[in-house]
Amino acid sequence: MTHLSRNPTGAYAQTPKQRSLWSFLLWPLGVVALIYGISQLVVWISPYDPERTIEKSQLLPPSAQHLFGTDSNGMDIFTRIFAAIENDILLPVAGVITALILGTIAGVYAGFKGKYLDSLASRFTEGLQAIPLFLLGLTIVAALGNGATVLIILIAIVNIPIFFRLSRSTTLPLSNADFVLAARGAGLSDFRIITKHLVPNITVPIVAQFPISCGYGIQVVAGLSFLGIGIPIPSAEWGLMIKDGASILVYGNWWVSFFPGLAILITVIFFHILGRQISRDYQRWIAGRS
Amino acid sequence: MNVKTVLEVRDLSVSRELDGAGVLMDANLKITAGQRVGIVGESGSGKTTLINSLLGQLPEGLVCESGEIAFLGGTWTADKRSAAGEAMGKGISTIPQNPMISLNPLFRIEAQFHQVLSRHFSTSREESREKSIHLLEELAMSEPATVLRRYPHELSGGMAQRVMIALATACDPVLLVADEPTTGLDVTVENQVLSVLRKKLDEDNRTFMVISHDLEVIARLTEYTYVMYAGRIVEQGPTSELLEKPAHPYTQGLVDCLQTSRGSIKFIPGNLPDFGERRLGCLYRNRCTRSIAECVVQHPAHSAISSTRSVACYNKVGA
Amino acid sequence: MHQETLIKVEKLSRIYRQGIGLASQKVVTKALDNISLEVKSGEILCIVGESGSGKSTLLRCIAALDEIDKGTVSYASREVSGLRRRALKEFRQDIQLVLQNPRTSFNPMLTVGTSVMENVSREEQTQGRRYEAVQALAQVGIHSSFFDRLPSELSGGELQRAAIARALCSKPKVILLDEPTSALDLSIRGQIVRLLLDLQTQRNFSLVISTHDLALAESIADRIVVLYFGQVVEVASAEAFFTTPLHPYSYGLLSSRRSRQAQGSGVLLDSSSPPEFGNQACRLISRCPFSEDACQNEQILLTYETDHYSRCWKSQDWKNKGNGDKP
Repeated sequence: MTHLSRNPTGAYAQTPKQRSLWSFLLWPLGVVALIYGISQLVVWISPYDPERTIEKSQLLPPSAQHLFGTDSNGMDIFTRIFAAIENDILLPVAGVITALILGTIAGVYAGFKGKYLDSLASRFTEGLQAIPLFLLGLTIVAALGNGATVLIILIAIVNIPIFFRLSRSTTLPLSNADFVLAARGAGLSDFRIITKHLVPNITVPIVAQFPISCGYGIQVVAGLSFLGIGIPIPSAEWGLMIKDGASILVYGNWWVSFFPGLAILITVIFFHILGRQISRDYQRWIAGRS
Repeated sequence: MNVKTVLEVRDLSVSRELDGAGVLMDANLKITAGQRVGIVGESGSGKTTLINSLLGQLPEGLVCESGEIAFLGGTWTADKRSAAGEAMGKGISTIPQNPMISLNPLFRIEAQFHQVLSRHFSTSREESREKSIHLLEELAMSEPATVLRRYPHELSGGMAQRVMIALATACDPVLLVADEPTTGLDVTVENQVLSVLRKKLDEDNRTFMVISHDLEVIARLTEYTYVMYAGRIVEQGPTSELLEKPAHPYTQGLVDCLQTSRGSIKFIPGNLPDFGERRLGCLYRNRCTRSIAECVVQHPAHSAISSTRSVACYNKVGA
Repeated sequence: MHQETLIKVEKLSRIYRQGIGLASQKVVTKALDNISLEVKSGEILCIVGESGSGKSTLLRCIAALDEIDKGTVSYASREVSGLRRRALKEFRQDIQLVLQNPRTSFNPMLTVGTSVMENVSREEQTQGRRYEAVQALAQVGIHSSFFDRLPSELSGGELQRAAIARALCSKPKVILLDEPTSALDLSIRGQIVRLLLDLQTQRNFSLVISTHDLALAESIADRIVVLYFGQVVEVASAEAFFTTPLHPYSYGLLSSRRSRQAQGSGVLLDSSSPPEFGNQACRLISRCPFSEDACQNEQILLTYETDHYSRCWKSQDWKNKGNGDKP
């Protein structure tokens, strides 16, 4: 069905309006799933085990056998780069999704209900945000130990305030909107109002924030691992790999740090572009419906 | 007596870029010096687009198909925004629809006056203040000094609109344009604003154009009116004649609406046709009580009723 | 003719506080000050007042969509603020509020039909509910093909009719409308008035309409309540009001009413700011040309005729003078 706008400048007045809101959420997740799938495929195909050292193959420069060379432990860097996707992309994504869900629920309730709930939640998240990241990381690792789960928790904690703030600030003006008043007048329960009227109208800024937070999360994982308090050796992880090559960089073994560094760079840029594309997509969709 | 033409619009047509649907079609308009002109029509009749064309503010998505605008000796087409912008600077001033949006919320009223006055007359702050007090007094604003010290959000709708009128007239524009000046105001406040505006127009002998969906506003402020419907001008003539003896059925409908009372509630049933439905024939025929066979075939051309009036209808009222 | 009272508002006050940081002085506005009125079954009541008079706040308080600071609103002899759950749900079905601007009262992301369906009782199946919504839209003259359209595809008049359809879906006993025609073109306003009158005749619900436009009130009201800065200043039947208004403010409103000859009245000058909190004088005092020292005292609503009240102690003078030579 085409949209027949009453507004003469409804620029996309004839685009079909079938596209549902969910499509905005699903495709970034789909992209991440795809990337993960590819990474697993590469690891599976590769003749090298990402965590097993190979005899007498330390520090070999890039060649036909080792596309990205080997590191000081004799592990193939190419395979490790792809194996690290599990830690470097999936892990932050999991953390950010957790933060998104928890932070958004809290933020929407705080924005809509207001008063004590709002004050309490706001003060709490502000406090959380006040703690410097690495200090927080150290504390949590000290308490809970190393490992993937701990990192997911950390990333979630760091991002919850972001999603809380975002969802709260987008919900606030909406909760005073006429159509929300009309919904209350219709006798809808708070829960229904939130799910039917508030959440759909705030989804897209949230979803646009998601890849940005992921990009940041990747840096957190890599950074902490670089410092030794993230993913433990010998797992494949870009930060670890950079650390590996950092001390030997001066001796001319550039490839050990270079490729993981490049991987991080590309990934962060990719997520940034993803976020921008979602935003743009959404603007056009909204313009077409108004 | 040769009266100078201030503004002339010739065969202006604007359509939607997307599908070529007509938003404004073959508009012809003329305003002479000192004349007070009104354009009346419902939302969607094209009157806002007409104003935007004049001011060079056609939004994205609309394109000018044909026609030109002549003002102060310069001529341009509606999509040449730069030319329009220059001409505007020389002499068109607008009173916008919603004063709250047009006033900068960060500055006090006196600062906003100063911004405008100093640019045109190079006045000092003190001079601007005096001049603005004088302007506000002319508009029957009590305690103008207090008002000047306020911020826009501290003003009521009526006061804000009077401030806008003062700002618009401060620089002595060649043409003053008011876009739905009293929409959103209470009836009592509207009354005051219209009185005050009419008085000012008479005093300054200003060339004036007002757009409204409300014939009452047009009746109070103008001497000559254009009636628009679905993008076309369907009737034009001296305001008083139009009100007493409307020729187009739509004008008749609008005049009737002014006289709603308990026993008889007057309205025009139906709605403006959608953009996509503006095709052949008279666009009013679906709501017209006087439509005849010819109305389906082609949109009627303007025919003169007198030297000052013309109407586009096959079955005029009173025919 | 004894009509049953459906809604009783007693001494309703709504106070807005604006604290300025930690300063001890708080700016307090009385949006509603000790308002009492009744809504009878089957009647059309018009609440007349300018912007800032509190009429929107009043309607929201009656509809239990705004807090009540003092006083009570009762429906069917039960206080509205005490209703919970089941009772509240029933109340919401019986009392519906239609807002001023139809564009903002519909969620722009949802289709018109979905929004209208919201008001249909949840107890039925979705199919049945959809049918109800389509029926309601038909009742207001909107074709079923509009069901799946977005609000941006409808004109202002059509949307307002859809808003009325939405209110009808819950089969209400009272429909409150906040300036239902202010946002619409003049030629469309009559459509809404006609629609409301027709619906009211068919279904005999009560209508409470707030407006600043006396022409609208004249075309539809059975009874009029005039509000001025949060206070009731006159209550009368429509007939009594339009022939012999008793309060100077009413007179001012009437002479500002649209007419080709309206020249503005001497009573209404610049809009004044709301009166200070705690000031007991008559609120019209700064704008009223007939004010005297006695007007500094607290004014109460006086009965001048059966069912005709005025808050001006001088009304009797005018009543005696007749309305021809109003001061």
